[in-house]
Amino acid sequence: MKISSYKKTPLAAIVFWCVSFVCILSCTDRIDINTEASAPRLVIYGYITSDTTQHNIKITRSSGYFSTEKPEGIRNALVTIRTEQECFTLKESPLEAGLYQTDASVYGTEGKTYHLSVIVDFDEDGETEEYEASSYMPHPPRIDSIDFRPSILFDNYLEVLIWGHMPEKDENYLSFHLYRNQEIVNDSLQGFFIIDDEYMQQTEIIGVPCFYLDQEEEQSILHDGDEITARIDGVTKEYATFIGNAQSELWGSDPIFSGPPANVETNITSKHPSEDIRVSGFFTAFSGSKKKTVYHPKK
Amino acid sequence: MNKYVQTLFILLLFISITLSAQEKKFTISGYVRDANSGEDLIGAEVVLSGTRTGTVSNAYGFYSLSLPPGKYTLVFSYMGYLRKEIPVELSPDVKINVDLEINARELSEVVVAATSKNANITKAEMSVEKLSAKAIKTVPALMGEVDVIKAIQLLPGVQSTSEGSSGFSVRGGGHDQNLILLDEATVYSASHLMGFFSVFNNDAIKDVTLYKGDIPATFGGRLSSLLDIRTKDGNNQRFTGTGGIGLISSRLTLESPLGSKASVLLSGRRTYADLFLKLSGDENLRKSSLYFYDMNVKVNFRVNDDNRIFLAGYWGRDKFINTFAGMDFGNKTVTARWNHIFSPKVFSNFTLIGSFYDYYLKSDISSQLNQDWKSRMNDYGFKADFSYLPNPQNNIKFGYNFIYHHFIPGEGGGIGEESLVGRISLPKEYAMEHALYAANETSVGEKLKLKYGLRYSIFQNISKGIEIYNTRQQLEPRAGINYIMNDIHSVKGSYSRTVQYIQLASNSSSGSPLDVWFQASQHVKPQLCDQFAVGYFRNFADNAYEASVEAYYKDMKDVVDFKDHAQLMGNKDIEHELRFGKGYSYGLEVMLRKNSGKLNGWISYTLSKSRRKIDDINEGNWYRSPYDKPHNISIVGNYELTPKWSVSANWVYASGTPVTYPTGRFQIENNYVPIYSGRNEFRYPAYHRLDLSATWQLSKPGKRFKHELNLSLYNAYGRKNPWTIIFRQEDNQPDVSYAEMVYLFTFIPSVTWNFTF
Repeated sequence: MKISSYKKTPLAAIVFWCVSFVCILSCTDRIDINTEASAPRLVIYGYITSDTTQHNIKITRSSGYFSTEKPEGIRNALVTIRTEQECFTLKESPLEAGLYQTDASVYGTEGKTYHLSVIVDFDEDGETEEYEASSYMPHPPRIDSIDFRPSILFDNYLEVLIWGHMPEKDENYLSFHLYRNQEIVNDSLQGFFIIDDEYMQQTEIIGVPCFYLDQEEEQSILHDGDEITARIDGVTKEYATFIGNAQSELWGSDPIFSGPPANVETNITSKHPSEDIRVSGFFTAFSGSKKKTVYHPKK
Repeated sequence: MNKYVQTLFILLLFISITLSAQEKKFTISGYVRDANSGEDLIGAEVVLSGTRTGTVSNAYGFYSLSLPPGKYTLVFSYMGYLRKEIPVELSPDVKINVDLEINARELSEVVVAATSKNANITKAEMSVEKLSAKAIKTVPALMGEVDVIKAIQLLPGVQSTSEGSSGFSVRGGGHDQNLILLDEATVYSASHLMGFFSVFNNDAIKDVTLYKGDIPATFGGRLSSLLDIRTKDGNNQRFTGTGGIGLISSRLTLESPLGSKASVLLSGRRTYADLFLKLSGDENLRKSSLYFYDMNVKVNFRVNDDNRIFLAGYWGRDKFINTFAGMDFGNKTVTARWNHIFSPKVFSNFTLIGSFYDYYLKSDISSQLNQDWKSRMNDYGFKADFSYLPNPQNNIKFGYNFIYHHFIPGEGGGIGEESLVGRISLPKEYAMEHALYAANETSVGEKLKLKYGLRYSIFQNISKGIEIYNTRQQLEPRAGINYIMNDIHSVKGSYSRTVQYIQLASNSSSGSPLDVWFQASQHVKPQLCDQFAVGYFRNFADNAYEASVEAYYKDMKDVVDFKDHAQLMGNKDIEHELRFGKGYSYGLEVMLRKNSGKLNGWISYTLSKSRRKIDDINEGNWYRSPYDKPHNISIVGNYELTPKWSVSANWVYASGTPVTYPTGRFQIENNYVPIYSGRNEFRYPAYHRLDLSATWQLSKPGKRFKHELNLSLYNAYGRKNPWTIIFRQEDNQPDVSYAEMVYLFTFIPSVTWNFTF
């Protein structure tokens, strides 16, 4: 589905536009690049949310950049998520190697800090290594309603507008997702839309356009009667930074506006750091609120 | 601080001892000018006939030669002009203003570096490149826009920071380590249109000098180089005009006498790409603006033989505006200079300088999200420069420079009461930069020339209430030696220390118009560079060919870089994003130049290496600097086929820009995130390009109105040079990644009609 969302701020959008100007002058060609694959890294990624559902932690092995295989899941890990009061042990999915899941009755609570522990023999030397990460679960914002209007910026795009309130506690980093008929629209990292309220002066969200849906693209055309759900999660600053940095690495760099490429930092640490095993990924906790509506085109 | 002042005092004492106990001398002084336009000639040679004793005119065309009483014949010479011999009987002091006639035989010829004929052999300075405006004009240009900086990038030791960019790196230094002066005012952002064109209008330029290392003590504030650009004073003999109409811009320069003592220059340029947008079928494009303009104004007033006043100004602006966002940015510089001759031996120049750069961004998306953002840098400066020429063997310079920096790194935010976004203002920065300097260039016998000087620089951070809360200071010694083996051979060496107190807050390799500068402070040390260079200079065929080989080594301390994923725009705590370290670069530069004649141009080759070691970057290990390109070749040629036709070509080759490639990947949220190699471990494919141009003189000889047609072809063989390489996942096979090269210009033809009257 073709979807547009702003980058972090409208000012960043201006910079993005400047880059687009240069791109107008440019052409592209695919090229072959020979880079030797770096040593495989242990990748741990997942989160616990305020929803009552199965929460996933995925443990994989990184591959060479031009590998065409799916990431290899790491089996036989001992994965737990705990707070001071409770501890959840995640079970390995029988359907997908490397996917570890809680029971479906598990949910997180705002204001608590969650600790992830992963014990695994990644280098297959017969000795296990232990990795850990922690995340606070911020309070969620509230969505009151959603609405639609033709975009005033882009021809043939539909804007999704949101009304609601910011959480009163915490410094707020908000992650936006959109679902059409229970199917997530921005399901990839590229489509993630996270903003911070560092400079926000109002706690009320009044008709802020959050998504732009291309109505000439078959996959993103909204039909009369579609059930549309907007979800806003309160996420931590560290996670917002992780996603922002990962997105910037996906978009690539240019000589005018970008810094040099760099590895995205992780919050996963090893209890016994070893130079041989490097870790990537992230563990976080977030809470959210949802609002549903049925789409009816305005006449 | 006292020990520094003491050192400077000792240097002055040394100079004065050197000059003491001299016999009674008289002085011949005056100005050397172009007879046709009245323009001062910079670097014209004035020698006693049959000897090497002499001097050269300074940046204002002034010369002074003190000699024992007697009869002499003075020879005045300058490339492309007829020599003039003037007999002089020196008993009292004599003032002789000399007007040199352009050599009619060479009138249509291009002089690559206008100066005296073997100045490269005889002068003590090294690592200096000069280009004449006429030579710059012959270099084939992107879209026909003649560009000083693009010509500079073809010189040895100078690299373009990226395809089409106006940024340049000198001897492995950063693009923010170049001090760019336009009539002595700092130009903070020298580029138009995302860097594809520089802010300098070649028609208004008189002299371009690039110091790659041996920077005179008169100047400081940047680590790597000084690009000193002087505009024309304005023709004081008759009304003249120069202009052109090209594919993307037109330009006009007018010069005129103002009475008998003054002259004026007015020069302007504007692009008109936005006019074509009006023809678009897309309404958004029709409402968009996309253009730049710039203007130069200069007035000079010769009050009398001892006093002269210059007023110069530059205004330039870029505007990009569409229906939902807008950006405009530009420089302004103002210079007021007063030349005063205290005595025939003492020339002085007092300068007031204003230099301003600002940008403004605005988004127009929704009443809750609309924002604006602006940033501004203001410099107010004063300079007092003195030259004392006690005898032909010594040329002493001393003076004081002062700059008051007032930076507004950024302020803005939401617009209107409905805005969700608050307004913020980043802390304003104020500082004073002072420098005292003294230097002498002295001849020891016929064969040895020495150059030594000291610059004492002070940088003071000040609060709003003009309270100095942090002071940094540094002694910057500069020294050089030239052993003149004979008129065509010399060996030179130099050492210089340079300090940079303000840095560019940019981690991109070529910089953008949205970059701001930040100041040294209690937590940010100034960058420091020690540079050593040696060179061998040799001329051939009666100075028609100049050859040189220079080797250099630069040791840099407190080099600034930024942490990975640094957030530089709108960041209140930019110091937290900084990382510090060290660096070095060394290299060998070979140059063969034919300065004049039907065929002229140069071939240059640079072999170099540049490395950095910065805390937290590349895990603290040494890595290639972004400007490390081991091999760099430029071949520039201009040939006059017939009096009506001339052709030019340049070919450049450079090793690929260092780059960090992904060597691994991991998957999150249905996308693969790259895992990178060490910083700059790989290189882009090598860069090379051929540009061609031909100029057809349309006017008949002898006519006052002259016009010509210039046809040029940029990247003539269509080389696809990478501007960047990006990495993507296949849409239909998300587990398959691929690399895509983005390239900018292939086969760009252009036509420009130029005229003069």
